[in-house]
Amino acid sequence: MSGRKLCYVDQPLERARRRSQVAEHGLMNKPSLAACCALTALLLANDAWGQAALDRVRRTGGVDSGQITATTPLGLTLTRSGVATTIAAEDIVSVTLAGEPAELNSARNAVLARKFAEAAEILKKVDRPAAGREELLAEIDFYSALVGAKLASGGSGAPQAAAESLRSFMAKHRTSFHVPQAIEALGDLLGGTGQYAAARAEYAKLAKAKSEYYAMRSAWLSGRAWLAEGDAAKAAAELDRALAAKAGGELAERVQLLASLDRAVARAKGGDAAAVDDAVHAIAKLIAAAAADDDELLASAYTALGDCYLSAKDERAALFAFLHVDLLFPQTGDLHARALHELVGLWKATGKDSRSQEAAAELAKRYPSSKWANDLSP
Amino acid sequence: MIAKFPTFLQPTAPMRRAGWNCAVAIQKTTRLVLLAAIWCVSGPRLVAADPSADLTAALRQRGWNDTALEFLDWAPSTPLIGEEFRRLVPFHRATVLAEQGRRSRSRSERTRLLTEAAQSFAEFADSKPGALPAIDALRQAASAHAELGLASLADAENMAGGAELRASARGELELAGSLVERIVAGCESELAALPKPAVIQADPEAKKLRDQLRSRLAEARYLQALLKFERSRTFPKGEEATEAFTEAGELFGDLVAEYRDTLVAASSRFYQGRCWQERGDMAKALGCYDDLVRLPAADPEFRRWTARAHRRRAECLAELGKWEEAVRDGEEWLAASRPAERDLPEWLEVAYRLAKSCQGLAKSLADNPAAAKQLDARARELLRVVADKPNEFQKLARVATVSASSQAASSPDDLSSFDKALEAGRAALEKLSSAELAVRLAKENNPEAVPELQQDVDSAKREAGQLLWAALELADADTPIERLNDARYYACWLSYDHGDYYDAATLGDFLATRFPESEVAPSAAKVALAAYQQIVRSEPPPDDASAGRSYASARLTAIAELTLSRWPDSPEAAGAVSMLVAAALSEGRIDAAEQLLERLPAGARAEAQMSLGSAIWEQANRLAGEKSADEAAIAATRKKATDYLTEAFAAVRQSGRATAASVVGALYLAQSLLAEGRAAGAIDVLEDKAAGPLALIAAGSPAMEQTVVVREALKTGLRAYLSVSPPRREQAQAMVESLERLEPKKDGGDAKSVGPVTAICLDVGRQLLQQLRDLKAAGKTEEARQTAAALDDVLKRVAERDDADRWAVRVWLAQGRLEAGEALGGGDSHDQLAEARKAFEAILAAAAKDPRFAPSPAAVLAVRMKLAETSAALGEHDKAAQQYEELLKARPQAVEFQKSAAGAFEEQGAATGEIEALNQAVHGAWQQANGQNLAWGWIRLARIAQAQRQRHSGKTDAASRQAAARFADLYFEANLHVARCRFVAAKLAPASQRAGQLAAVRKIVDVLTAQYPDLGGPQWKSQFDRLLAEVGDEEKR
Repeated sequence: MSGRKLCYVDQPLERARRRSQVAEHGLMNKPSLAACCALTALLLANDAWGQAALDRVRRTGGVDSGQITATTPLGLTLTRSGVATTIAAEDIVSVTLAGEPAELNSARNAVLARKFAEAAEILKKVDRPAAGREELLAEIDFYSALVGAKLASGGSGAPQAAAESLRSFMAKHRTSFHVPQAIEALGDLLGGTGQYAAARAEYAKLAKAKSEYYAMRSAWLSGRAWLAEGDAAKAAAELDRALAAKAGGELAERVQLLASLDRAVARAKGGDAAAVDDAVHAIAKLIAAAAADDDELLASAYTALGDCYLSAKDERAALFAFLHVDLLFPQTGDLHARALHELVGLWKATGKDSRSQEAAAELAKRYPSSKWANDLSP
Repeated sequence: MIAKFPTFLQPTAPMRRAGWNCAVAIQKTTRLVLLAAIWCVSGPRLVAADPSADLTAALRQRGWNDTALEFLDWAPSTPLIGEEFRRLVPFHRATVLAEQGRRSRSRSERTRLLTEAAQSFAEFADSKPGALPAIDALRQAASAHAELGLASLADAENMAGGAELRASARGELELAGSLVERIVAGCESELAALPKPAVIQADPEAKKLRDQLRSRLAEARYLQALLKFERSRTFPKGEEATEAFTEAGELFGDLVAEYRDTLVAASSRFYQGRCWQERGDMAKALGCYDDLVRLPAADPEFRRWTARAHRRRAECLAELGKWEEAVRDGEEWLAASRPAERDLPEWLEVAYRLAKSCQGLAKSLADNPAAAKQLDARARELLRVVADKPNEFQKLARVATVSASSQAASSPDDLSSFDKALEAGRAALEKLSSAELAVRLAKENNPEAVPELQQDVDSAKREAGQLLWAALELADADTPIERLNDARYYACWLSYDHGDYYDAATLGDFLATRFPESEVAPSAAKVALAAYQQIVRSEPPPDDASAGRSYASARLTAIAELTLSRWPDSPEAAGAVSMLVAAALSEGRIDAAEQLLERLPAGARAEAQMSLGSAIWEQANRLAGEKSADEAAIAATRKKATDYLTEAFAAVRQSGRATAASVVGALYLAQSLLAEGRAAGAIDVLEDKAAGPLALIAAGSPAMEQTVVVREALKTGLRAYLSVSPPRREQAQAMVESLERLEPKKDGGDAKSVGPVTAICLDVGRQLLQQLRDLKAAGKTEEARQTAAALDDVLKRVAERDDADRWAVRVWLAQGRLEAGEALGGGDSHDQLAEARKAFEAILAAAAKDPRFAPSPAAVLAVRMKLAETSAALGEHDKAAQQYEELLKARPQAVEFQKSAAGAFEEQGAATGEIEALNQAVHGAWQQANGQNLAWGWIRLARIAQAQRQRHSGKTDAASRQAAARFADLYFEANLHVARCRFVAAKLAPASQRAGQLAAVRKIVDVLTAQYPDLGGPQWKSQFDRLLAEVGDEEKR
């Protein structure tokens, strides 16, 4: 379970390594240490220059560099040596802009690592120019709004203000490729505060994009919102829509896998013991088929399994499900936080108070600003 | 070290982690090698890549084996596990059981779980899961049995008389051996069934399987030889051991030949040497070790074996007295070793042996003190290094360097974090452990050094306490809970050890109730129980009997209940039951105590049964000491106690594991047998080789560490040897001599003080007196006579002692004769009573001659009263009356004298039929000038008692309440005697007057009943009822 599917290679270093290999190959006969050092220094210097001049786009499947010449809510256009490439918004993990403040990238990395409080602190140090390159302003505003929303979801900050920041971002940067993320973040924020209808309204906006992927994602997110609200039937209807979509591609398949897990939970919540059994069987099939190193999917599957057992009031089985997440997939961020949150109660219910306290302590330590930790705090 | 703790405070898992269980580590390397050999081949081979397998492993890693087992029981009923994992569930289950067993602090639990695991592995292997899985399962089963065997062997080496443990170890090792034999056979048959080599070369899968089978075969054969070696060590030195070592040596020899130039060959050669060494053939052993040390070893594993060979080589050379060669070899090896190697256990063990060789050589250099001094300095230097790092000899090296290490310890000022403070605290605890061991050793070998070493103990305790409390202060939210709980437990234990029972109780209670799943929780509960018990003992008795239980008492019960419900199979559970039993018994709930016992598994019941039996026995003794003793109830209570003690004693005998508690129970059992006149049976108990207190004293058992227990054992032995028919006077004399050694004479004792041995003999005399009374009460006249003879022996023995002329001793001797006479009754009593009279008269004569002889005038009066009682008992009523008159003239207001005088008149009347004496008993005698009688008689006594009773009644202070109760008793007692005197008079009266006088007796009782329906309580009511029954009989006549 050690390998992660979303594994990124730091591009400049990779390039440096490749180039040095090539160079070394060329100097095979007599590779003096001084020569190697000098060459490496030169290569790194070149790379540093390259980094300063180009925008870099980290995708789910690699990194591209060039100049961002256009952005829309559905993606961006990257141009290099006169060749323009369009990258879909859902495929973008992050973007590093040429000449951006160093702190911005630190903040971005902190967000990717789900360290929102740290990201907020770093963002305070980012000097936002009043005017300048639109993409840079959008990056700063997006991450500021996103971090605010995540912190508010975790109980650190006012949800209303955070929602306003997201709305303000979308109003100011209508063409940003971050807009779908902002919509989803706003929906999550609203859903997190119990405003499920408002959340669904936000998710519905995603479906308006001319993208099969976002239409499917919209249905999935709406289904989840119905599930959170407790309406298993409506959740099932939305999730079925997501599952029936023909978006295609790895990203879409992944969303459908996750949607199928939620569908199983909806089936369990809405039905009797047989329905729970069906749901468990469905999830079991998915687990059996999942790649052994797909931590996120497996953690989601065991979380869904835990939900099914919780709906059947089978605390022991739920404990085992969430223990999978806690012990085998502790790097899955929110899913791990959720598992710890459930384990606090489940350990207690099985008479293991100190393990319950351990889970609570770990939750508070690792995810202090998560809504799960906030939910437990007195 | 372990023996230092009270039995209820054995060191716990975290203490062991900190090195507290390193008492004896002889042969540890071998055990580690064996276990490593088993573990390295059988660990993770069957673990499949499956989330369920991963979860099981993760749960095991976290120590949550209970949850892992639950998961494995649950998972097969779900669709969540794959077929591969489903097939392996029994294997995983057995693995978890074994892990749980290894982690268990309880020896019995560990044994149970490992045994169950071994059985499960074997069953899995039998289920034909495939060749390799079966082999791996058999290895695990062998591992479990080997662990059990090695643990028993280690225990046998640590305690005297471990024959049964050795036999048990042998059994387990043989079981492991038979499993390994199956592995060998399995590998061989699988290899034989493989295709021809040419075919295998072309088939990578077949080649892989062949290599795996070959590898497992080699490992199994090596294991087989190792198990044989360990089995050899289970025999005491002698023919059987030699034969077994020979067999093991031959197996290793085969391996050396077959696997030449491999690690298997090198390690087998080493063990060949070990076998020769164990057989006492040092030359041949040296030959084997020399082969190893000559090898140009570069591979780290080879070098470890070379280091082991150097260590063993040094042992052989030391045995042969070749100190110089041993020193040279050790120095050369260490000098040539790599810097990183010098901290490894094998190298440190060579260093220890080198230190010992230096000391040996130094001793042989008497003519060269400078060189000897240099060698001693080198030895000290080496010992310091050895003491610093984990290795087999660390503890011994620490003992040798304890003083130096205490000076070198870090001070609490160095601390800046919880981790540092805890580690420093643990180090201080280790130092404490070493210092305590040093004290124990010094007590035997160098008593002069004890005070200084004791200072080290005290200093280490202080230091450990400061560090651990500092650690608790430094703990924060990030401190791992288990480490924090470890620190809490250490602090808890130290608080208890220091006598800070409130701190110990608070911490222990907190750990047990808040963190019951923690590894330290059962031990913490144990300390809390012990601490609460101390607090309860120190609490003053409540003024009001109806007052509720104290907080400490309530918590004691709560923690004991918790221990019993959470850890029913733990060693602590027996202690908890004992406490609950004690609490139940102190509240008179014997039935509850017995029910509690049922809550323990039969196998773990012996200790609690001992405690219950002991507690019931004590209860019976208390009952016997009460005025209103109900003989039938006492007999029933004693029988119950004896039944429990007999059963528990049999269990202890069988287990061969005597403890301080079992010894107390055995002593009670012996006393109960003595009380029944079964002195021979008592001697059997006392002398039982496995569990008898006297045999345990002779064997130097740790169960007999408490002087008070030894003293009681010797006293009981003295009593038993004197009581048996014919008396064993020589053994009785040996007991007295042992007591004299135990209680050395103190210089400067004053002329009036009684020596401790005399006091003990007098105590034995008291016990014999009680025994005499019990036997008479049970109608065992012959046994009573024997006991009287034994008592006579004791009295004579005391009379011969230097301090026999002390007032207290002389009075006691006379009193003993009087009581023996009274107890014997009839014709048997005369000699004793006559001796008593003579003795009392002599005391009074001595007091008259030397006014300083008696401690007080009151003491002289008390003797005079006893003389009067003796005269009365002899039927010399006039002489008795004379004494009473003297007494009453001296103290006319003394109620006790008045009662005795009235009683004497009553007795005289009853014995002689003199109506006048009965009248004097009722109305008094010896009229004075003021017209009043000097002796009051029972009627006046009743009147005075009633007045005093009314005077004190209604007052709430304790003294008034006691006085009121005392005078109430006197009131009913006096009325009873008035009625009884009237009854005796009625019987003596002419027939015509008898009915009227009997009616008068009834009237006395009726009037009293009208006023006081309970007639003063059961004690008096039963006597009034008996009297009325006698009146009824007389009326019918």
